[in-house]
Formats: sequence, C-alpha cells, structure tokens
Amino acid sequence: MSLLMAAGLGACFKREDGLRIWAMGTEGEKIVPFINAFNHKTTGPKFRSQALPWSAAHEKLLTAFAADNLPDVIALGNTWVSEFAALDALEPLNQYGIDTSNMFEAAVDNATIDGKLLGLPWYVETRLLFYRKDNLARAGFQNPPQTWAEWEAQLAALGKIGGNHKFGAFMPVNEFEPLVAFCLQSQNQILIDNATKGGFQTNGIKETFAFVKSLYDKGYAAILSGAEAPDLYASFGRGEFTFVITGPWNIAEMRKRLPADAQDKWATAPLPGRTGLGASILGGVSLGINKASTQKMAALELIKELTNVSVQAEFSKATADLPSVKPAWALAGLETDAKAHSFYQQLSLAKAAPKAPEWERIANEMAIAMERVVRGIQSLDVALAGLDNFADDILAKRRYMISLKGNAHE
Amino acid sequence: MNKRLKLQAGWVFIAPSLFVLMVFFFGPVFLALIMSFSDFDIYSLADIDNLRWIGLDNYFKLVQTPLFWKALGNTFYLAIFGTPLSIAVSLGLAMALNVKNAPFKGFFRIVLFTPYVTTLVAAAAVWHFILDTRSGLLNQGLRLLGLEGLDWLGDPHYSLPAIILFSIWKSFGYNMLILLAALQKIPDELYEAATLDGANAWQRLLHVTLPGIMPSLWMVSLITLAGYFQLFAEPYVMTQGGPAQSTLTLMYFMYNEGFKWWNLGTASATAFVLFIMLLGISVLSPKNEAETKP
Repeated sequence: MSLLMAAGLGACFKREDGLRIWAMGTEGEKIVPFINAFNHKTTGPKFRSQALPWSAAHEKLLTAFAADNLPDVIALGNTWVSEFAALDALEPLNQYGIDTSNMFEAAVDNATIDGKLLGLPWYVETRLLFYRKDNLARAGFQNPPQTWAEWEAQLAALGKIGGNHKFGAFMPVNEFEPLVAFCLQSQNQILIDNATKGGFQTNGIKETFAFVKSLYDKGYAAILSGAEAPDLYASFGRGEFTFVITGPWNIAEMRKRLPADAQDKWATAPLPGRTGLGASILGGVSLGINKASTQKMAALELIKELTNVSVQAEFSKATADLPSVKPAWALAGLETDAKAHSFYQQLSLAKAAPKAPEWERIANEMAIAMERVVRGIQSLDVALAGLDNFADDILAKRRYMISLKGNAHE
Repeated sequence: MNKRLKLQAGWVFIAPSLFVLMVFFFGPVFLALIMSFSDFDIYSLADIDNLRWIGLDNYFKLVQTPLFWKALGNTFYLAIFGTPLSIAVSLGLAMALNVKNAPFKGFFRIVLFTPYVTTLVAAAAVWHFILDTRSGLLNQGLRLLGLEGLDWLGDPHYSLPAIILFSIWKSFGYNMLILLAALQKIPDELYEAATLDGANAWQRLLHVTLPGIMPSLWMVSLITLAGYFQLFAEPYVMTQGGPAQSTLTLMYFMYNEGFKWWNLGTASATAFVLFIMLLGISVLSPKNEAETKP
C-alpha cells in the first residue's frame, strides 16, 4: 500500500518535473518535436510544452498570473505584451545581449515596452491584400493598387464589370484590423501622449476613418459583420469580390479550399498607402520569460533556440507560419513564393499597434464605432469624439499609474 | 424545552447546506459587493496596492456608459417580448396535449420536450442554418408564403427577434410540461358545470382553466422572466452580441467587462444591478397564492 502511494507520489512529482512552456493553437501542438529536440540536446533542465486553445488563452494566462502559476516560457500574442508588461510578469531581456538585428523591426519594437525588450518575436503576421487577378484584369488593371487613389479607381471600375462580381472588397465591419492598419499609415498616432489619450480627432486619423467609411458608402465594400458574412473561401473562389484584407494563414487556406481553376487567379500584395505602399498592423506571437521563473538561463536557452535561423525555417515549414527571423525566409523556401513574398514586403513596412494594455479594447471600440457610422446610426464626427472619450476614460488608470511612476522618480 | 431542542436539531440538519451556501454563495456575493466599490483591473492584479477604493463610482460610470443602457434595453426587450410569447407557446401546446382522446399524445410530448434537453450550442449551430439569409429554412418558408426573407442574424432590427425565436423554441418544453401537469389537475366536473351554465370555449379558458393553473402559470412566468434577464449563451453562440451590439445582453456585457477586459470592479457592479433586478422579480410572486391554490 505504502509502496503504491510512494509510486503515486513519485509520478506526481515527476509530472511537475522540468520547466514549462505554454503556446497557443496549432503552434502549441506543432512545437512538441522542437521541444523534444531541444531536450535531447540540452545539458540543462528539460522542458515540456502545453497547448492552449486561442479562444481561452488570454483568460488562462491572466488567471495563471493571479495564481502565481505562469510557465517558465510564455508564448504571448503580440497585442498582450503591454498587458503583461503592466503586470510586470516578464523578464527584461536587454541584459542578456541577444542579437535581434536579423528580425523584423516592427516585431522587436512591439515586444519592447519602455525600452525593455520583454520577448523575442517567434512568428509574425500582418494583414495585406489578397486579390483576384482575373477580376482586376477585366476591370482594365494589370497591377494591384499602390495608393488609396489607385485602389479607389480600381474599386470604382470593378463595380461595373458585372457577372457574378458583387462588390469590390470584402471587409466585415466587425474586424478592426484593416481599419487599424490604415490608421497606422497616418502621420498621426491613434493614441497620443505615450498612449494615454485618444488621438481620434487628429487630422490623419479622421481622414483615415473618412476613407474607410467612403469604401462602404460608395458600395465598394458590403456592410457585413462576421456572423452574416458569406463563406470567404467559397465567394472568393467564385470571384464574387476582388479584394480581402487578411493574414498569412489564408495563403495555406486559400490553396486548400479554393477550387483548382481559381488557384492561378489570386495573388497577394501589400496594402496601398496615401502616397505609396502603406504600413499595416503587426501581429504574431513573441516568447517571453516569466519573471518569477527560477530557471531563467534555461528559459533563455530555449527561446534562443526557437529563434535560431534553422529552427525558425523548420518551424515555418511545419506550421506555415512566417518566421520572425529574416534569413529563415530563404531557408524555408518562402522567398521563391510570390504570395509569401508580399508578406515579407508588408512586414518590412508594418508597425506595432499602440502599446497600452487597454489597446485591444480600444481597437474593438474602433470597429464598433465604424459600424455605427457606416450603418448610419452615428455621424463620423460624433463617433470620433465618442472614441476619444472612450479612450480617455479607459486609459484613466494608465495615466494614474504613469503619474505614480513619475512621482516615484522624483 | 422541547421546542428548543427541535430547533437545535433543525439547525444541525441544515448546517451542511448552510455551510456550503455560505462558502460558495453568500461569501462570493459579499466579496463581489466589496469588489464593486473598487477599481479592480489588471493593474491591481499586478500589485494589489494599485487598487483604489472608489465608492459608488463604478455604479455612476455604469449609468453613464451608453453600452450598459444598450445592454439593459436589449435585456428588457427580451424579457418583455420573450416572456409572454414563451408562455403563450407553452400554454398553447400544453392545452393541445391535454385534449381528451388526442392520438399519439406520448409521442408528441416527447418530441416537444426534446428541444429543452438538446445541447444549447449544438441547437444554436442548427438554428444558425435555419436562420441563414439565403438558404435558411425559415426564409425559404417565408418565400413560399410570398413574403420577403429577412436577414435574421445580420440585421440589427431582426437579430433580437431571432434570438427570442430560438429561446422560445429551446425552453418551451419545460414550461409546457409544468403547465400540462397543472392542466391535468383541473377536475373535469368544473368544465362540465361551466358548459351546463352556457360558457363557451373562451369563457371556459378564462374562468376555469386560467384560475386553475394560476399558481403554476405565475411560477413559470417568473422563472421564464428571470431566465430572459440572464440570457447569455444564446447570443454568445449565435451572434457574439452583434450585429452593432444589438444582441448584447446585460449578462454578456458583464462577461465582457469581467473576463475579456478584466475590469472586475465594473463587472461586479453590473452583477449587482442584475441581482437587484432579479430580487425585484422574485418579490413579484402573487400575494393571494394561498387562495388561488386548487
């Protein structure tokens, strides 16, 4: 009996043995062989990985923090970095002399809060145009748009080609990413004063909102929200619309789901900007080290391994994710892939979203405000003033926290 | 002496339940009340020193939040239109099942009760297809009748009615069974006497059936009303609160505040507003319950 118990206890301890890494979604599953390879190689403590579903990951990480139970290495959605910085949950990596010069600047910038590098970009994503070449050709254009004006001209011409073409661009009103991407192209900041106040009534942001609104007003994009939107792949496959702004995972999805005769009819291109190709929003996942971890050097070794050029290339092949380390692109065969290459271009132009823990909430509200405007419930000016109020209100605690810090320095 | 002893024995018997209630219900409720006076957020999660006691500010802020009113309005809309419709459907079907000598009664009773025991998420997925604008069963039916199909889940004007439709379908079975049991308890002689007195079908419904099932009808109505006030899963699965937040209920608003944005202060305040409303509903129970009992 006591032997049994001892064995049971032993098993329990054994389960707790080693260090932990949590990662979300498919990556959380596909990381297993890479962790095994690392464990095989390392002389230090071993790691075990746990996959979290994306939909529950944010909640789970916050509750784990509250319970002092965060893993040693944490894969963080790039929009969560500032939140975990506010929680002071991440170990700054500046002191370890990590070379980030071969990574996308926007991704490194996104993981850097107040000068502290809080994570290493693991894989990156951004949003750009997926478009139908055949529709564009029928409307008389050979190349995707480089500027807003060109895009508008194309959308206007596309409205007249008829056939089963229904509208120019597919932009569900509940998605904030395209709107935010266009706002990031502006000379004005979405959030001003160190991301403590809303900048929605500045000229640049106002112009951007007006531009996006006009796409709906002129019928270039249908006013749809996620639940009512038709199946993206089916309707893109039939060429019912020409442009959709979406992310890299859709390269693989389109290849898988579009009918064979549509495969040579679509391509990708960077977002048009005001005067030339424009910025987009940087997404993806970074790897951070838990500040409370007792094995930081081992954790550091693992995140260095996972951002190593050849491992990045292998991981990209396994997952179809885009490597954060630039030289890995050639190794993974992404440079010869025209569809992926647009992403390389766009990632070089990408910008990090405003770095406030409250950002995601404000971004959500931006989409909600835009929906109200295009549905005619509110005027643009009222909506923008409302957004400023909303942001100022949401960021009140952040202003208070920063003022506390300021006083502490004095 | 004897009475005192009895009292003590009673306490002993209910002590375990009381203990569980204290730990898992009254305790958390009390803590939530305390929390609703604080600005508990992620900064406080980082360091509890960042927590500020802000008195009733959460409540004042709620009152000034347009989205809160929107959610409250949606919740009332659901309760006001959903409850009577639910009850009418349940009562109608219960009366149909109560018809003497109707064939296949057991079969119909089971079939009509099935929606109540199906998994909500699975049922919602099916209803998503039924309500589809282009190929949905409902719109196809409407077109057969020569009517224009509606964009049920996509148009902010029809999304709440669509949610009500789904909720009625999902929950009428339970109410129906309770009302059926109540209907079956009404003695046949009452109907016979009423018929002899010259009462027509409508008068019999009004003066025999309804008074006979009044206590059950009250209970069922209150439970349904409270259910609509706590509606969450239906919009969560079917519309995610959209389009244009037209299906955001008070519970959904609270969920977003608390678990999506980690504003536990605001979420707790919302919970208390809801709690007080539900408390108000439970006070609504009929005063003459004893008299109406058959």
